[in-house]
Amino acid sequence: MSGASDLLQTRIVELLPKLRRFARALTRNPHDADDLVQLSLERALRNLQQWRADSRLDSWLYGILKNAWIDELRARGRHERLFDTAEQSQSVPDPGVDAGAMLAIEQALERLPEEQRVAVALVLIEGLPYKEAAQIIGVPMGTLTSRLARGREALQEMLEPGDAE
Amino acid sequence: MNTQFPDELLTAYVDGELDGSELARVEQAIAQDARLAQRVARHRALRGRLRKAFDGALREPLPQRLVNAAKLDAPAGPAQIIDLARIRAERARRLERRRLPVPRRAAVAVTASVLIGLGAGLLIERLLSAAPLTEYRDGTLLASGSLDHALSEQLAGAAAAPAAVRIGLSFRAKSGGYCRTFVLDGNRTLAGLACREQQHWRILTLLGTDTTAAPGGAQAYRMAGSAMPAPLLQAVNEHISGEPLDAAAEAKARRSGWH
Repeated sequence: MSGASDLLQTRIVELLPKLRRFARALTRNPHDADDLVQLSLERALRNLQQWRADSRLDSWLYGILKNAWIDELRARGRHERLFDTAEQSQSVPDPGVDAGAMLAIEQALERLPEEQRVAVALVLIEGLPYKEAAQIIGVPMGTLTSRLARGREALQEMLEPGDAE
Repeated sequence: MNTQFPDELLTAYVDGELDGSELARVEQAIAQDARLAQRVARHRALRGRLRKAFDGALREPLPQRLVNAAKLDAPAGPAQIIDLARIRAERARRLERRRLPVPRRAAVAVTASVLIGLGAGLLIERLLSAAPLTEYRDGTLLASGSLDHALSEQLAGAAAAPAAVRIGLSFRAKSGGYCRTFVLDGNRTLAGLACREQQHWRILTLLGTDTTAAPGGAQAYRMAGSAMPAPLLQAVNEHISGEPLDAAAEAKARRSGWH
């Protein structure tokens, strides 16, 4: 293996925790999330020539993962749900997080329209700049910011009702 | 709302999108206007909450299959279909290999007082068509999903939806921690004993009882209207220190997170 691809592989492995986090925000299920990450890695490695070295590797991978998820949702719409529905709402056991708070947030996210959920996950959870997030989703900045605003408003309404201005 | 500072400007500030004179203007305004500062704090809090809920993924060890999938020199196999159905099937096969076979009749009448091992997870999942309620970690059977939630949140006897979890009694174990008995209603009833260990409920006993043949008799403890199966009662007697918690003590234990 060449030094360049060795370095690239190391960088991809370093990004895995963040990709898993993003996938969990989208799927709300740790098993589905890891399946989605694995699928995205396989797709990414097969299409490495599409990655431009002057662009952010994380954004490129987030984009592949987001597209894989949208494909999955479309497939679910067409026929049976691919994932076991029984597994759907199982939350992530994490000692660092209060289970009740986690559940409330998962349920609130669950109720957002997919396009708002993706925007919220990329900017509020992954911490990406608006420009990167808009590019990943493939929409103008104005569209991204309005999805973000609506997503934020809905989440605040669900998580702290009656607290709005 | 201060029209000079619309929400989109404040969220852009919270998201780190402002710079130069715009950033200075917003920072100055926040310093002088408590209501503005409050709005900013609310946006920050939402961001923090979301992050906290998902940051667990950053701390967990990476599954080997993902590290392998990131390898550039992995054999690609051009004919292989890249879709989730395949990956999911692979995962299911891996899980199946790890599980031990459980004789079918074991699901009908389990009389052993302690049923521990991979079979129990399979048993419970076969008996119930609900969400997965158990998971294995490091050879230990832990409550998960709605069972974990009920053990942590539900008070004894609280009536829940059909096919849900009912909590029987709660007590202090001789080892010091809290334990609770539970009943799962499915097409067959399962009952068990779980004890708090760190952040989890470890399932010590799990038994299947035929709902039509629930053992009655002179049991000392009653669980949500039905008599506690003898092997479960035996497990409780083995572990209990003193008397079961009363309603007030149970509520207090819940408030303290069962620690």
